[in-house]
Amino acid sequence: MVTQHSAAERRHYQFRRATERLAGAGMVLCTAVTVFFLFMILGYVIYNGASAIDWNFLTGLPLPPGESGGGIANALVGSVLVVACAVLIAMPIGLGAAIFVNEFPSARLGRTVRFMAEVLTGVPSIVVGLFAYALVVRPMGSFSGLSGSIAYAFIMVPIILITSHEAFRLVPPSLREASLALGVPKWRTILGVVLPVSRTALLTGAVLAFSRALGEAAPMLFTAFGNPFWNLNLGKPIATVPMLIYTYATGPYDDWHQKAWAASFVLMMVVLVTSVMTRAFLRGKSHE
Amino acid sequence: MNNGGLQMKEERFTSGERKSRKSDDESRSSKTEPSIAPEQLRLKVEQLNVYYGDFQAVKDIDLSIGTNKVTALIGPSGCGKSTFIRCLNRMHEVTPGGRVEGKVLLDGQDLYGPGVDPVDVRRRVGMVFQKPNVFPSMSIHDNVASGYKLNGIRDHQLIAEKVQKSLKNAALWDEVKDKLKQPGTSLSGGQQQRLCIARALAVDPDVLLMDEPCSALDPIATTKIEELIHELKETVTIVIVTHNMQQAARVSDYTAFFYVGELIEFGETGTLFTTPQKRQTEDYITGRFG
Amino acid sequence: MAVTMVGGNSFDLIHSLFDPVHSMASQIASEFTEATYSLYVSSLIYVGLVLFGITIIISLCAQYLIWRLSKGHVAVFE
Repeated sequence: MVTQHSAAERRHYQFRRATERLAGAGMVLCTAVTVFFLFMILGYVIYNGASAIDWNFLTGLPLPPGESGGGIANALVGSVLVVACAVLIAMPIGLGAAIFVNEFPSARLGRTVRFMAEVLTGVPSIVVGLFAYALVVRPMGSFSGLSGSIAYAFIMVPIILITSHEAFRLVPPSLREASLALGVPKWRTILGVVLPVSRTALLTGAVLAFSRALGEAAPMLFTAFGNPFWNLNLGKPIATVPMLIYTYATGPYDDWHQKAWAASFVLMMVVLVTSVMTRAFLRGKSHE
Repeated sequence: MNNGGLQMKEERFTSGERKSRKSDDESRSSKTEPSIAPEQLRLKVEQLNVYYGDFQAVKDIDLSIGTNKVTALIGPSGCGKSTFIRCLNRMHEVTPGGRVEGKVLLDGQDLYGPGVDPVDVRRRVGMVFQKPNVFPSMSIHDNVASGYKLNGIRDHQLIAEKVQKSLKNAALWDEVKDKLKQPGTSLSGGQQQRLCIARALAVDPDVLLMDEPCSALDPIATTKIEELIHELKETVTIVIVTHNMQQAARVSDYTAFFYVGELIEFGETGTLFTTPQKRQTEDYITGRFG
Repeated sequence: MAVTMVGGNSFDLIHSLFDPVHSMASQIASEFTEATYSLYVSSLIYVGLVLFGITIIISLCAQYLIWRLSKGHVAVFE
């Protein structure tokens, strides 16, 4: 049966079709712009930075300002050291808090903590750096890698708390009930059932926090401060890659500018490789 | 008992002859209790009242569960039978706002008495749930052993023996003995439920509670589990909640009928289904309401 | 940090969109290492406090907005 449409109905229909197409085109345009800038950043970094990377760059120490050559090895190692230490500090705190928030839902403290974590994710990293400065550097009397780790930990704990909490929420209550019904006390249920079941999501949260911290430069300005020499001692100032990028990029030497591009490239690659490897590892795990 | 159950079912639903029964007034005055000798009583429930916050879900229950017998709890949706059974192993208090008043005596000891640890209670009174809840992060072997492993017990010899024994008791051993290391979730629905039964049996409970264990399973798996219950009752006391009256008739020795939070009638299964004492029981059994 | 590098770091009040600027974060970042006496350090930390306060207020307003728009059905944690 074919319905007859009036002229007005037809016009209305065409108008609707036109706006639909326009809206669709608009969305495609927005996506294109976003993706475009993403690729622009990637492209610029690769173009400007990739040429300066050689073995010496990755393994050598920085030379005094003005001299060309040298590398960023101390910053690479320093970054990994400081962030790894931060993960060691932040993970138990974030996990423990997430367990509390989820397994004791009747406690008002839990909801407050979760709320505050969400607010804290918005705190500027420079303020976190100042806080770590006042808390650790001032009493210690000197800059140190440890204060940098603590600053990073402040940034990481809310992220880990929120992602872990969401992971625990996804564990079906029937599994907890099954464990309790076997005569397993609540804390052993959490350790033996809830944690293993949610381990992929927990790992993802940790990697997310790791990648975020790896790129933060602002806290390092007042905590780890930077160091032109090898230093593996967290009690002393230590060089980190984002800090180095900032210093070199705002410095007066062309050689430094190039190194900043190259270091940016290395940083991006590290974050990219870490993400991809984690995804591959987790995909393998989830098939078991 | 099985045969008797089937026969009785046919009698019930094909005969048009009304068996004589007591009038409503008479039946209301005496709560017909089957005479279970006190030494044959595994669980005795006295004046149990169960609340969710301020809402009372179950009222004034007095019930006796016979040792090594199957007791079925039947009744329409929302009548409190699931709530009641969860009080028998102190699982109701896990629900936020869950509160229990009254006594549940296991071999004479009040499970809700002062100083009684709910964790110990749950080791002696096991539970199988409606939907199989196999632990996905563990192998078949580890699932059955989880009652021990999660509690930190590491005696591998003991655990291996318990696992084999429980899987045999759950009629699952032959099907899984070659793939004990595979994840628990790799089994079919019916097998997973039997795995849950094995898991519950592994800790040697005195009583096994089953909350509608077959409602998520196909008829063949259901039959297997009903046969299993028949074998298991030799060693474990079983309390089963079921929506399916025919299943109750097939499987149980005693049946309790619940309605809107109250125990309406309790008796030997044969008697309850052929000559129910209360009008409500008869209405439910004949399908006048669901 | 990004603004620190491209903003221009000038203390004058801006009259047009194209004047060089200092953001709070960029000021702290560039001047902290030169802060030699304690009043200087304290005032920079004060700038940090103001920055913190503004971001917290905006965050709280955002949470409140979410809560209002969903009429309390979404579990905004308290």
